[in-house]
Amino acid sequence: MKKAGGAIPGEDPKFTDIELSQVIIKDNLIFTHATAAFNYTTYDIRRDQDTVNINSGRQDVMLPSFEEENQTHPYWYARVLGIYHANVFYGQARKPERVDFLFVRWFGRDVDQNSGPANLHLERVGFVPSEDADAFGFLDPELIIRACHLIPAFALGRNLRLLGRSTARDSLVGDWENYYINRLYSINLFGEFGCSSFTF
Amino acid sequence: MDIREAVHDRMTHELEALISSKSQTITPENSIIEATELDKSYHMARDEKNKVYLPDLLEQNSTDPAYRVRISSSLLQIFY
Repeated sequence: MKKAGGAIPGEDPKFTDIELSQVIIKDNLIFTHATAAFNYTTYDIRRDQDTVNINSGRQDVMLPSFEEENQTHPYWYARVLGIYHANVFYGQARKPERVDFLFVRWFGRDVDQNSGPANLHLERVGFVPSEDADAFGFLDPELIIRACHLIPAFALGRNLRLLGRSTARDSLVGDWENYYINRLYSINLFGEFGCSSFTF
Repeated sequence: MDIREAVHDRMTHELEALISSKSQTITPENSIIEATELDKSYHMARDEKNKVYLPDLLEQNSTDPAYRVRISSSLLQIFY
């Protein structure tokens, strides 16, 4: 739990009735934002910033993988659909605390594809089907490492089966079946994947 | 000759439009980053101009499968 040391995405939260009754969103209001900027360390140990804008195509982010078993890839990927904050009362507190959160649509790894440097193929992800309970969720922005660049797998086309008519779709004609994770997008991102021996 | 003139005119118009719209395309991502901002892991605006009443949000999107999530449990996970 966030107050007790960080929310873990993908975990089924278990709360008691008492805990639930102690969380009150002030006036039942949430506040929307168009952008959020994520700071990260560059390959040459400097600080830089990526901005995610929900009104543009720059909405994809990466965060550390929380999988403990069969971890074959170090990151999780998500598309940011909403950037919000709320003022929340905890327990008997008289003053609300500001809580920032993101509404995201999760990508899942395409494990059937042989990918990675050894196979000379970029890794592939695709949206989690909407029937899955983990297709969408809320995320603590502190968990985001940085924005990322996902390239639609144009050859595989689009589909309508992952999500019904929704504002969260890629387009009216459906979602791209898969996306390639562009680890070569920038030298910084290349470094994130452990390829940090650069020569200039 | 007519085609050349037409193309030239169009290029001139497009160039003028591009130059005149330059100032409008400046977004926060192009602005100068303050050094203090980089100490934190992320930055979000502090303003509360765009507010949404939660029951209204859910009602407006009641037919949208993207909002048919375990909102209570996963949102509480963030709040806790």
